[in-house]
Formats: sequence, C-alpha cells, structure tokens
Amino acid sequence: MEKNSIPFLLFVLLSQLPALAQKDTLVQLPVVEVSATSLRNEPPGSFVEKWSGSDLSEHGASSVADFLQNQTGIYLKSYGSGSLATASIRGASASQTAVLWNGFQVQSPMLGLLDWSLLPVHFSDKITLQHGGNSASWGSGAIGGVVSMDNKPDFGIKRQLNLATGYGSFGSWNGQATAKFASQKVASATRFFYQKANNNFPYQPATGLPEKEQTNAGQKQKGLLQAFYFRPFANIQLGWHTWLQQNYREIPPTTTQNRSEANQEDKVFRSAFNFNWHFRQNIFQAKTAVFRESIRYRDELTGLDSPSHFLTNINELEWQRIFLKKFTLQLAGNQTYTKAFIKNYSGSTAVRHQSAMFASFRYRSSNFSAQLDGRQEVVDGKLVPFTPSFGAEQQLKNWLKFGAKLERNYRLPTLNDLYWTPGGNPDLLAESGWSSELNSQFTFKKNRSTFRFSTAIFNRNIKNWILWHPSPVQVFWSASNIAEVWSRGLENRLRYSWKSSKWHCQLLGGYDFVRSTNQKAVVLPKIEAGQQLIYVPENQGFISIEISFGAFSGKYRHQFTGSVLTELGELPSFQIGEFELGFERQIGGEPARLFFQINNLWDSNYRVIERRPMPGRSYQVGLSLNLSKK
Amino acid sequence: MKSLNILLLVFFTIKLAAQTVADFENFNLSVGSYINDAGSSHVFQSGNIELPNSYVDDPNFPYWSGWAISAATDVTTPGFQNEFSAITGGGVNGSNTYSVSYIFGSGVMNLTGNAVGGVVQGLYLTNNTYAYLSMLEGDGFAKRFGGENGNDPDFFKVTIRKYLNGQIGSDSVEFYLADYRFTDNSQDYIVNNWTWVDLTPLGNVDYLEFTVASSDVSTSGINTPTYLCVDDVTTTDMPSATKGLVEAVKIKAWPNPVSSFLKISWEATEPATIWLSNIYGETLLRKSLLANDTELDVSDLTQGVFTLHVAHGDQVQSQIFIKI
Repeated sequence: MEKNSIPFLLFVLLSQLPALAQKDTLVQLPVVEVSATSLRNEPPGSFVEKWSGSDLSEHGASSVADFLQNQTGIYLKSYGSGSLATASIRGASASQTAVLWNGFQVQSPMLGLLDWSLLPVHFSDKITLQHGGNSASWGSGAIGGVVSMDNKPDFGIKRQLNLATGYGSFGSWNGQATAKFASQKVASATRFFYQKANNNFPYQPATGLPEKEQTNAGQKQKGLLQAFYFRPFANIQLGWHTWLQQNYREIPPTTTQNRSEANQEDKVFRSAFNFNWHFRQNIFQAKTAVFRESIRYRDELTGLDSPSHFLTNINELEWQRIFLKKFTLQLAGNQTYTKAFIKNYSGSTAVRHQSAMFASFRYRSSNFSAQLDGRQEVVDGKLVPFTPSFGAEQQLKNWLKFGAKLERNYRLPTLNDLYWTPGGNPDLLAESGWSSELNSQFTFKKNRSTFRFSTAIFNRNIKNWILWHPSPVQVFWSASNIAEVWSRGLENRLRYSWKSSKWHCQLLGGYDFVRSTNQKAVVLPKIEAGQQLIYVPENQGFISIEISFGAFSGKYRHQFTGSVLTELGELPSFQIGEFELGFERQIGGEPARLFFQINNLWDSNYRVIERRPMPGRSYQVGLSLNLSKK
Repeated sequence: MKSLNILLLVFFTIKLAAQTVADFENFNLSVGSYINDAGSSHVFQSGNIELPNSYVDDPNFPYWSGWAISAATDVTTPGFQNEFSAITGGGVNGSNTYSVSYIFGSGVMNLTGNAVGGVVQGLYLTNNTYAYLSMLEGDGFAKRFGGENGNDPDFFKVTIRKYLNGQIGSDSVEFYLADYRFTDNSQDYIVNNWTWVDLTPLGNVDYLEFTVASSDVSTSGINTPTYLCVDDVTTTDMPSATKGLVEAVKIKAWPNPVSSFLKISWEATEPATIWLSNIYGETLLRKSLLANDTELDVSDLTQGVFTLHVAHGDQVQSQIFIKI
C-alpha cells in the first residue's frame, strides 16, 4: 500500500459514516456462500473446527497464527513477537498446510508457505481449520491441514461501524475499524487495521546473566480489505474482495548475535471476483483472482538487498447439483498461472501453469454421509499423481458420531525448489502420499450443561519429501526428494460449558500426540532413520477456563509444549499462561468491551526457535465499540 | 654408519636447498580487487604452488570453489558479500595480494616444479573478514563465539595434511583460527593478523590438504563461514638427485579439469582396482581394470572436486581432479 492510500482509506470509511444516520428497510434474503461449498470445506470424516461472529471479533487484533494457537493449540513455530510464524499441523512441514482466502490458495508460490503472523483475524468473517489433508479439493499443499479465511456478505446489517483499539507493553498499539452497509441488493464491508510494536522486550540470555533488551525488532503493519456484494436477484450474487496490506518488520538478532540491521518489507495486493448462481437444484460458481506480492529483504550491515515478487492469476468454475435430495455431485476446474521474479532465477523469472479438474460425489441422509472426491492436476504439461479421497461419517446415537477418511495428498515443489540458482532442481517430484484418519465425537447436553469430546487418530506417509541440503560435491545447497516421512498421532479436544441467567462457564482443553519421523537415514542434513522431525513436538496440550458473571468475565489459558529437536540439538519443553479480564456492557444497544490481558503470566523464559528469545510477562489493554442500525 | 651418512646427506641437501615463496604478487592485482576465475587452466600458479579453482559463469549466480586470489581490503563489512577480504586488510608485511580459500569439505594446494616431493617450510594464515566478524559478533546463521554466556568453549581450526606418492601422511598440523576454550575468557582469541604456521613436521609433500572444524555445527555441518586466507607459502626446491629418493611411481589422470572422459595411466602391469571418492571420502564408483591405460566416463558426476584412487598390489595411489 502506498502512502497516498491512507487518504483513500479515510475517504472510504468516512463516506460510509453518514449512512449510519439514514433509515432503510431490509429484506432478509438467503445468503449465498461466497467462498466454497461444504463439499470442499467440510468433507465427511474430517476433523473440522470453525469460528465466526464474536469468536473472531473478540480477537480482532490477533493474527491468525496467535488465534489458532490460542483456540486449538496448534504448534506455532514463531521466531519471536511479531516475527515470522508458521505452523505445523499433524507433524507436517510449514509448507504442507494450505491457507485459503475465500477459496483461493494464498501461500507464496516461491516459498510454498505463508507467514501466519501477517494474517489479521479482523479480515475474516469465518475461519475454518480442517485437521488433515484435503488435496482432492484444494490441490497442492493441503497435507497437514487446511486453514480457510472467508468473508461473507451480511445483508442483515443496514449500517454498522466497529472500532477497536489496544495498547500494550513494548510499544505495541493496534487499531481496527470496520464499516458495513447493506441494502436489499448491495452490501459493502470496509475493514482497516494498523498495528505497530517496538518489541524491545527484556530477556535473560542465559541463567545468571543480566537481562538484555531485544533490539531491531520493531514492526508496522497496515491493511485494507474492501468487499462489495451485489445481488440483482435472489438467486444471483456477485462479490468482489480486494486486500491491500503493507508490512515492515525489522529482523532482530539471535541470542548469539551482537546486532542486526536487517529488515523485510512486504506488499500484498489480492483481488478476487466471484459470481454465484442458484438455479433449482444447481449451484454454479465462477471466480477469478489476481494476487501480487512483493518481499524486499535488506540488511544495512552486509549491504544485501534482495527484492522479489510474484503474480498469480487463478480462475475456477464449479457446478454442483443435488439429486434425489440425498445425492450431491460437484464438478469443477481450476486454472492457475504464476510468474515470479527474483534475480536468482534464470532470466530472473520463473513461470508455472497449473490446470486441475476435480469432482465430488456425496450421499447424505439424516444420520450418515459419505463423499468420494478425485482430482487430476497438470503442472507445466506433466501429470501430478491422481488424488482421490473418500470419507464417511455416521451419527450412531444422538450423542455419538464416528468418522473415517482415506485420501491421497500432495505438495508441488516451490518455484525456489525448482529454479533457484544455484541449487534448484527442475527434476523434483511432488511430495505425495496417503493419509487416513478415524475420529469420533461425543456430545452430551443436559439442562444448562454441554459436554463435547472429540478424538482423532491419524496416519500419513509422505514420499519424495523435499529437503535443501549441502551437496557432497558442490559448494552450495541444493534441493532433492530425499526424505520419506511417517506421521501418526492422536488429537483430543474437550469443550464443556455451563450457563445460567448470570453465569457462564466454559472449559476448553486439548492434547496432541504426534510422531513424525524420517523413515530413511539422510547424510546431510544428518538425520537418523526413525528420528522425529525437527520442530515437531511429540506432546502438546492446553486448557482454558472462562467464567462470566454479568458484565464481567475472566479467562485463564495454560499451554504446554513438549521438547523439540532442532538443527542444533534439543529445545526443552515450556509452559506459558495467559490471563484476561473483560468488561462488557451495552452502549446504545450495541456491545462495548474493555479488556485487560496478561501474556506469559508466569514470566517463563522459553524458546520456540533456537537462539530466538521470547518476551516475558507483558500486558495489553483494549477497547471495542459497535455502532449499528438495523 | 652408512645409513646414517645417507640420512645426513639427505638432511643437509634439503637444508641447503633453495626456497621459493608463493606470495601471489605475480597476479599484479590492484588494491581492492580479486580474481575468483582461473580461466581454462583452473589453477592459480604462484611460486612453486598451484591452487585449484572452479568457476561457473552462471548468468544469474556465478559461483566459485577452491581458491581465489585477492587484494581486497574491507575489514569492516560483515556477510558473505565480503568473502574475499582478509581481516588484515592485505597480504603479509603490507603486501597487496594473498589467497583465499572457501573450504567445502577439503581444499588442496598442489606443489609444482622443483617443489614437488619436497618439504614445505610453512605458510602464513589468517581469517577472512566474513568469518572473523561472524565469530566475533555472530550473524543470523552462525553464533558469536563464547555463546550466550560467553563461556562456550568454541573453536575454529584448520588441519593441514600432506599427500606423498598418492598416500596421505600420518602427521598433521593444526592451527586454531579462533580458540575460546580457555578457562580464562581473557585468553580467548580470534586470529586477526598473519601468523606463520610451520609445516616442516609434515616432511616431504606432493600436495597439501586443508580441512576445517568448528564447534558451531548443526545437522547440516559447520555454521561458521569456512574460509581461510593464505600468503607466502614457502616451498623447498628439491635437487633432482634428492627428488629421486622420494619420488615414486605415479598415476596420471588427464585432462584435469575434466568434463566427460578421464584418461588414466599408471606404471604397473598387474590388475588394478580404481575408485572415485568425493570430498567426504564417500566412494562413488569402483571397478577393476586389467590394462594399465583406460578411460573413465565421469560425465554423470556433478561439478566438484573428486579423488581418483588406484590400487595395485599393496600400493594405493591417488590424484585429485576437478569435474566441470
């Protein structure tokens, strides 16, 4: 986003404020799902968690990385407060989780991953986490899991303005604003966020040593998401979303580095258009997107200046039909064109063409559903292995549900894997393999109490795992399909809530056991056969309890992360706690919320990444206000 | 008594032999410049030594390995973009030029002319700026020596071994380019001046092999930048009579560097076994041969440095070659 976009942003926000004073009549019409059908987002037999509404609005200042770690205990590989954060789900690598925005994959085709710390929760109306892969629906990268960020039109809102701000330790400040208006046929949502932090937190480099202050760790992020929806008829809807974001982050030194003057600047432009048409038992969807993202890494000390950017164009057609009320057929095609630019590619450019056809067939009755999917993708004229998937779930009792899934998943080599000079390998194969899972869900409801326990066991083998490694005969690292990884484990989630007229108590808990091992010994990097992947904890768990009484609420969350292997040795396990006090009351009929939060309550000195310190106890206070007219 | 006389003769012959200093000033580099492409010869020659070099003129990312010749003077800029500067800012005794090696596995220094099979008196060593500042201050990849609490017993050392008649010598000379193993941290040091390293304990030499080791390692190998700078390599000119005493039958492998077929000959008539190893000592190819001349297809090898070994009887002879 350029400097002159700020006045534009203010114009958009302010131009919608006068609408708050106007009266309008609203006819509620059924909303067409913009992003994806449930066949792709929630296939039977999958372990899916989703959040929307107040679940998200209370965490508007968070990144998707922090939010998902907080809500579901996924392992987050964070380089420090405000720094790069990637996730490992079910023992997969960071690039083996697909991230979708309104049904479009948004990982960098150059790196194969996305920095989750740059995804504001504020920009989502709904977040879905599907544990386990789903390449049959979403293609490359959907091996460990799929995270979907979706926007939805809200024709029920005539005019609405949400404002939130937070202030905290180490120079952190954030603000979010959302302005929405809707008529019978048109809806608009404008979201803006800004956040900054110095992250100059104190830390103790080693036992017995005086504290040091982190340096060169500041960051600024700002972004704008504009959505327009047009519904000319009850069964036709058009949507247009544009996401602008600019991030500037300093790269702090490690604990064994005296100083750093490196920084990274990211600029993001994502724009997507979709057309949805319901006709009798048919749903037709056409959508297209253009993404442009640039990254510029600079280091004043070394003089290194490395700019890069990529362009992506994605086009997708999808047709879905319901037969005999219980059968659903979906056919779809996707065409993706990617062009990336960095001086390390031959001719400073790399191009990739992807075409895919996929089909789904689902049977659903009142207590049983099953779905068969298949996907065939062609990448630069070469066939990727056919990707089938089959899942089923049975509601045995009203309190007991079982699910099972068997599928093949894959991940294409990134453009850097293929074309980086030196070391890129154009002959790389896609990582691929089979996954299976069994899951069950127990739900008991009695009077004011609801108890739900979910458990899933999974097993996955991925061959042709790509690693960059020092070559025995070259002076540089290169990429090869040298590893084979077997992942298996157990995921458990517990939710209990009890509600009375004044009291509300909620308990959440989770425990994951993950073994993700290299099955073949590798010389460099030195990996023994049967050794756990680096930065994949075998054990992790969390528990949180939230109690509300009237306008007041208190929440405590405790997280345990087991020890992990790293490239340097082993990082010990750690535990951290968070505490939050909230006060909520109605102002003008709309909720207003004030909160006070203590992060790392027990002031744990811990590391998630080797030589990267994490902040100790810190504080944050925040306020959110809502103004709306219905 | 007769044996003693012969030994004394050899000793004094060597002692009295002339010495040649490879100071790299013959490249006439202007201050601040460097050469990392030896051209079609793939070696830099100075005095009586030869330094192998491989340069790949990739249009996007030209890269080199082996040795470079440098007159670079930057002693303040950290990072690999300053890989050609010695931390001294120049050569020994204020001279302009010196050599820089990026040690990937191992590096080789061949003796040539009258120095072949003779004693190497020694050479001057120091750190390059990139490695020195990395050890002193740390970088995003490698640690500051001493670690988080300053007490880690870190080190970065170079080990020099000799090859004679194709066989590696049992002795070696170690030199610490940085040593933080002292109980008293005030004694910890990182070399930042030219330091003479005596190589006479190695005895007679055909070529020298350099390897490095560091306390800062990960699963992928050494984190410390594995560079060293060398100047004023002093060799001994061997009188031909004395040279005959130490020279033995040698294998010949050519061309070197080679792109596809390596021709091999050796002075023996018995059946022989040949094998290729990479810089980590891993055997890549092994075959038996009956004739004493043969040709080996190496076109499938990736670019890099390899060692060809020939075993016949109880003798093993070796020669290093570069695949381009």
